[in-house]
Amino acid sequence: MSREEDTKRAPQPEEKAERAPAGQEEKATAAAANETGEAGGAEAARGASEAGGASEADGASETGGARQAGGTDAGEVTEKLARERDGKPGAGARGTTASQVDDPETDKTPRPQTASPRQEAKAPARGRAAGAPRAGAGKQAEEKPEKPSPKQPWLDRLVGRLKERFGEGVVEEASINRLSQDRPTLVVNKEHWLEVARFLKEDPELSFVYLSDIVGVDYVQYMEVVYHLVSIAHREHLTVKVRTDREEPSVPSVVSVWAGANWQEREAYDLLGIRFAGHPDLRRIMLPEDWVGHPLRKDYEPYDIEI
Amino acid sequence: MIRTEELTLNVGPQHPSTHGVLRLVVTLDGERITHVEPVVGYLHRGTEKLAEDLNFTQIIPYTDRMDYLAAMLNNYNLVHAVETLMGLEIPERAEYLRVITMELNRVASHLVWFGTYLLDIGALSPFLFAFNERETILNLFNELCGARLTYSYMRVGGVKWDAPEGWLEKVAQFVQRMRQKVDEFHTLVTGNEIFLSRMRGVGKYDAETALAFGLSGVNLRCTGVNYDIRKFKPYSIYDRFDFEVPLSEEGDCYARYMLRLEEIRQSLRIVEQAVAQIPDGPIMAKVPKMLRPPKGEVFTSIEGARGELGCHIVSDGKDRPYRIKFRRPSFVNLQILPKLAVGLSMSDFVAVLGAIDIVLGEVDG
Repeated sequence: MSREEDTKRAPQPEEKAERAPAGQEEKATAAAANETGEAGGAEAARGASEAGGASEADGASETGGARQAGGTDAGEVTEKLARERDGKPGAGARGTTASQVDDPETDKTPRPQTASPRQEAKAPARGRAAGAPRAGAGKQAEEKPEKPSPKQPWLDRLVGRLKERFGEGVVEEASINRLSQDRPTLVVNKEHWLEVARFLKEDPELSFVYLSDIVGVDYVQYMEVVYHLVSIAHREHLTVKVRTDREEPSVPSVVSVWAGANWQEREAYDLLGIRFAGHPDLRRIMLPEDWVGHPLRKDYEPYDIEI
Repeated sequence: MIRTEELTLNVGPQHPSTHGVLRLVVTLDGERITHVEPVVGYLHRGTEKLAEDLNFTQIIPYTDRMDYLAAMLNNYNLVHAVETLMGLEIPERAEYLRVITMELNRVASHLVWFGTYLLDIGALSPFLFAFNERETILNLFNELCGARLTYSYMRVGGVKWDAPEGWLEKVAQFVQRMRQKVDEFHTLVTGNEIFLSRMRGVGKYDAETALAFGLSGVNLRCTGVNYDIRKFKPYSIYDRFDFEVPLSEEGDCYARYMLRLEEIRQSLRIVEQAVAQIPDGPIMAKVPKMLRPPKGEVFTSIEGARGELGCHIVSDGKDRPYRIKFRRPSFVNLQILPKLAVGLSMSDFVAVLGAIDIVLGEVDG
């Protein structure tokens, strides 16, 4: 890992020659800091603020809002990946994507060969931002005016009914995901999730009878399970997220509510290690039974380093 | 009193009737099935994990290989999610080309289903009839984008290649020919007594079961639930076309068969209208070379050939996804097999499995 390369920062828009294994975002942000054109201006600003004002020299890299003038194409990316792979004697950075390793200060990749604990401060911010109408809404204001979504009244009513029925603290967050076609999103406390799920399905005003997808996501501080529900009768969509901690991730299973959750939960267990309490048959589905580890986790290190 | 024993039959990963590498551990009591245990994962390639290291354009070929029989739809699934996240607007001509290719791909996929399903049932000729028509479609796609099966045709912001000279006319001619062929298929197969007795009433389930299991596509519509995402939550330019969604109340294999053939007809209708309406213009929107979607999440779904094909992207502002998950219809649809299989004989079981229409590339991802 050539750190000295990082400090050699001539602000050239296209630094294709020197690209540290740490990725091109650092240079890009330095470049972006110099350029004001394009929508890159807003993103560079976002980038700077989100990295907590990291110095220009190091670049607010993890934000990826910055555009690299000149762009890169597939050839350069493969080159870069190859360099990274060669540079690291570890597991080819499978656990964390190479592009997250941008900034020496803010990057947190559990690398076998480095000892510096680098904090991935983005993860909780990302988790909250995903539900909430975008952190840094001010910067998005130029792209989307912040007028309330047409689905907001529906969501408010739903949250009100849930609070009425289950009490406070059940719904942790409620927002409209503007990026995802105004999809109402709830974050539900995991202790009450099974009851809420049953209510969402059985209540005639809601009738979320159809479970479209279960997605497990590993934000490094915590894990999240996202449920996408559809109410065919009322033409509504709803997304519910349940958060759990990373060490012993466990979420109540909703197989008793939606039978189709069975294999989806098994998949989340297999690939991420999230245990679903109450699942009738929780075992691996994609990988062989004797596989060790959960590949989709961000810190997954395969035994075979050639993979 | 006859002493009976249960027989464990391994319908192993290599098998002509499992439509791919699917292993089914079947427990039989005499001729009747008591339990089925599907074992999947033989074709799991870790697409979602690999995708975390690739930028969005690089993920497109991976989506081809998931449902390799309907690759255009898979491509669109991904690019649609990214475009929704980025809020891009797609040029008209690109949208029309997308619809034409997606619907032709749906027809091709249903033709494969038709041919192989009847092969499973034991009718060996319709396979060749179906694949003959499919050849025309594959040749059309070959002309358009250079590949017969794994197209990687869509890009975030449009499509990669424009229709060459005369291509649209060929598509229009194909539509006419295919219409006659669907009638021919019906004449060949649908009235056949053996066929009817093998399909009618086999593998029946009701709407509540279907919804509980999250079935989608024809598997859901055969029970009478009108859930076709092209009509439920229209995407692309599907709201401009006049087509119907075939529905049935029966819920058995015969209903699924009829619905798929009817879907071919409706897809041909859409293609015809699209070819008539397609404007000139650019085929790609102005997108940056390095696609950086904003931070956030998106979940979009489209009506794939086999059901609801969805894509959930968690983006942290970089050019590669933080997490990407594909909602694969075959994976979810296959869950109903153990429930339906109980009490069936092996021949009915093969009929039921075929009627679900799975593609193992999609089941395993």
